[in-house]
Amino acid sequence: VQSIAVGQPRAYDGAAIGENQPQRDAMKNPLDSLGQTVALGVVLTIVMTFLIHVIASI
Amino acid sequence: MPHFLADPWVAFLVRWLHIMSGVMWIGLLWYFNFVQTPTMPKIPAELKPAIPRFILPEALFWFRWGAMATIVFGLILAHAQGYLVDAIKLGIGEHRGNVTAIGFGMWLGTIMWFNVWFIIWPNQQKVLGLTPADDAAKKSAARTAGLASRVNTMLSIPMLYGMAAGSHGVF
Repeated sequence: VQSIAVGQPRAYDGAAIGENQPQRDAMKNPLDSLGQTVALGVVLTIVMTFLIHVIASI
Repeated sequence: MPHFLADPWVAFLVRWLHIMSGVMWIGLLWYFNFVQTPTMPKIPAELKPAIPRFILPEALFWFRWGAMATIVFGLILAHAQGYLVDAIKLGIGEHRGNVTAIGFGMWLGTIMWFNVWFIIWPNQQKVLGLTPADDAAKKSAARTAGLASRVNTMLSIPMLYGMAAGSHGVF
């Protein structure tokens, strides 16, 4: 259990005490990873292919 | 439609210009995201200022005007080929998958063009010091521009798929 002294930055989500929270939150954005950005693009492409088939059939 | 656009050679010229300006735009987008951004942490501190001072302004010039030329030639081409309005409507009710595919490509490309001109460029102007901003505002602008650039990288994948599929009879 992590004890938190008054006036010290609070640890959260397993982050080290003193770690910059906005910086850590920013790193959670999948678009900060090039690999995840490309993967999301591929997923969108698959979804779009499905939508094209659906729209073309109505 | 203006008479000259009905000429197959004029339509082909517009298509050629659309593809070349698109390569300029998406090529620089991928340079920023696949090369420059991942390499920045590895560049020695004394060399880093060269990127925003010399490379970025030139790259951003060709990037944003490449985006503008791509959308302008693309709209002219779609009009000349007679599917502009149907593609904007995503080909709904037309039973033409190729129009739906290029319609998706056009909408994604339009979102990307908007990102370039109204999110990335205004924020990069702050980062480059072309518009006044304090250090905190510059940091925030760099983050916003970077995320918008990543969004465009993500959208470029289905956008190019829609464009290529629409004009090569896959659907």
